[in-house]
Amino acid sequence: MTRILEVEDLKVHFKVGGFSLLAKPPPVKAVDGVSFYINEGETLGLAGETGSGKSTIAKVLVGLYKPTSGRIRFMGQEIEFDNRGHITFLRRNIGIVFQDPVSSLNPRLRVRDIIREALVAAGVDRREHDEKIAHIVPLVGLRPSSLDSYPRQLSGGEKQRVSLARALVVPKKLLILDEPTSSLDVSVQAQVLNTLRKLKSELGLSYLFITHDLNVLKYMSNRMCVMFYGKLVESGPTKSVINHPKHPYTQELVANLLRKGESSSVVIREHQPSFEGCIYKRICPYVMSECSQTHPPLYQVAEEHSVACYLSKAGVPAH
Amino acid sequence: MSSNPTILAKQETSSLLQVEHLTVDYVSIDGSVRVLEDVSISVGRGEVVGIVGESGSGKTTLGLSILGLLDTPPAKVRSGVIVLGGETDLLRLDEHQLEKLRGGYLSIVLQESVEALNPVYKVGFQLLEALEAASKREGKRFNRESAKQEVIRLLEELCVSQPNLVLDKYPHELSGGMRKRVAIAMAILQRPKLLILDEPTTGLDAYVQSRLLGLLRQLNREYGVAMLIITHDLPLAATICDRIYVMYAGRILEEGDAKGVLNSPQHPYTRALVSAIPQGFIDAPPLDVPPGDPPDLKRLPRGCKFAPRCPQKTSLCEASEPLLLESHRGSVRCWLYSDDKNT
Ligand SMILES: Nc1ncnc2c1ncn2[C@@H]1O[C@H](COP(=O)(O)OP(=O)(O)OP(=O)(O)O)[C@@H](O)[C@H]1O
Ligand SMILES: Nc1ncnc2c1ncn2[C@@H]1O[C@H](COP(=O)(O)OP(=O)(O)OP(=O)(O)O)[C@@H](O)[C@H]1O
Ligand SMILES: [Mg+2]
Ligand SMILES: [Mg+2]
Repeated sequence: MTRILEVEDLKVHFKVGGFSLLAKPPPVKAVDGVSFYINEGETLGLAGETGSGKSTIAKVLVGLYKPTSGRIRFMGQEIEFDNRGHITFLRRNIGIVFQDPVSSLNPRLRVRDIIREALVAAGVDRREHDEKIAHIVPLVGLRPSSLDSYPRQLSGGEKQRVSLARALVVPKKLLILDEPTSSLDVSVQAQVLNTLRKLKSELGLSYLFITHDLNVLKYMSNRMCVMFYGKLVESGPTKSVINHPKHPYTQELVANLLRKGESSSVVIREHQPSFEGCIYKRICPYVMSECSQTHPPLYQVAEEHSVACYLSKAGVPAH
Repeated sequence: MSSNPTILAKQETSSLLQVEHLTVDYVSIDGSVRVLEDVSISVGRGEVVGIVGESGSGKTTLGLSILGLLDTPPAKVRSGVIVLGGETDLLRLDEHQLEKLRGGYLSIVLQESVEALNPVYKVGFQLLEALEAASKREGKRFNRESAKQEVIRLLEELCVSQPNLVLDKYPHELSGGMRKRVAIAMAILQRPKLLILDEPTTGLDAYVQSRLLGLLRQLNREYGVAMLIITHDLPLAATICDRIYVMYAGRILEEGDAKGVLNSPQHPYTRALVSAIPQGFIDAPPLDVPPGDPPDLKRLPRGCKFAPRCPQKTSLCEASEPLLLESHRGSVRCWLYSDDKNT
């Protein structure tokens, strides 16, 4: 299988605290040494804590943030972020549905023209515009009459469907979907997920699918990655990760998936990262002395399935 | 269109909020659309009420109209009363009086949390300002240092790691989920009696979600804060709410005890809201989507608004719209249950 995207040891650090000279806080390590790849025609699911760096990765991939370090290879091309041509190459071939649909829609354009812009940018013949727009709108569960509205005249979920329509009207090789159904009720969500799966198999697209909803991630992805505070803690085939989660954080996520809908008595524990040793040390129920030294590397526990946890060091399953 | 009073206003004396027969249009040069049609809801003192439903069914519009935050125009309230605390009709208050209420009595977490925050001020400044206003209202002395501690404690409660650093950031420097939690903190710090939360859990991971629900429950139990929680997530609503209203195309289709609505939904639409949750892995078959298009508010069918997509529709459903009637469990607007009325 060919890899459409390879990301190696990606770091994105942000400076914070602006102008004060004294006591400058250390940079925020939004993404701290993350490696993953996406095969052609495949969906990679990306889950993780809020604030763990998922959207930052997405923004790097469309050239909105420059990596602090690391290597990115897309369609066989090593990307240099100082090279305008490379950034254009990324944007021409990678589409994105932003997490926050509101600020990504031009308030001065009607929905029809927002979608049309994507057609113009892709150089689609004008005569085909109306037909293409009419085709995509019902596929994302938008009602045709919304085409004449301005973004501010739409509900939250309708705006989200507009960003989806804009991204799908001319599908790019790789599509990044950052929480694309977070504001949709389940029946509209079902419509959108069916459409995404259909387009993928018909056109051989690849997706990077970011979501907090493990049910959705499970249903949509071939492989998945789990992030915690800027680090990748587990990655592997989705079935393997969901059925046999190894990292304590992934185990917690999966347990939550099973509990959902029950009137849960909430387990309250600290969710603070640790800045020495393993990032998960302060939360982990299984800490050992090793965990205080360095953040664990990825250990392979099954085919393609690896885990950043000392418990999995000898391929020994964590439980 | 005829608009019969549909829910018999239960005159609960303990009601904190009572919305009655609210009908709202959005008017623009392209015409006028009715987004709320004769909506009546109530929230009792100390009660947690959920509004779930279709995306675009008018949930946000309902929330905003309670706070007088609808932009008029384009919105136009055609009829209805909104009674708070048994006396004030919110629809008759002027901006100044509303502003006062919004401070002390009511606060809202907007669906688009970006809008709650001013992009040019740091997060910490904005949170402290909210708390200072609350203290002033309560006639308490405001101490900046202890206020800061309170803000930090609340953020920690909401699982914001390194809250100190977060206070020093501008809104655009926060991740989606962090921004949401800051907006929630802002609303809580205003110490409302009724807290309206519009999609409070979108963009939050499962852990933070359960932590947030825990905090809301605590606010409710210990301080008696009543809540109106707007969400498209029915299972989630059922874990925190006492009672739930289900909306579709600007109408209430079902109302009832939260567990009952989730576990034995009456209206076919409510059932569809549970059955389309994705199940299984990537090799699972396509999801069940109710047939037909989402309702077009400009061209609604004559009868039941869900009829075109309903697996159980009859000719009666297409001919005339059922009323929202009390059933043995809550209320439902569906011809399937119209006989229950007499039993
Ligand atoms: N422009 C920026 N300047 C400074 N810090 C930033 C910036 N953008 C993101 N960050 C920080 O980087 C970290 C990761 O943010 P990111 O938005 O990637 O998280 P996320 O995983 O997408 O979270 P969520 O699930 O809440 O959307 C956060 O701590 C955030 O505050
Ligand atoms: N300013 C406006 N002008 C015209 N129509 C509007 C305006 N604002 C909202 N609408 C329409 O009113 C309907 C209800 O919108 P509302 O935002 O209340 O829905 P919602 O139930 O909150 O949806 P969501 O779950 O997607 O947030 C939608 O169909 C929307 O398109
Ligand atoms: Mg994000
Ligand atoms: Mg809304």
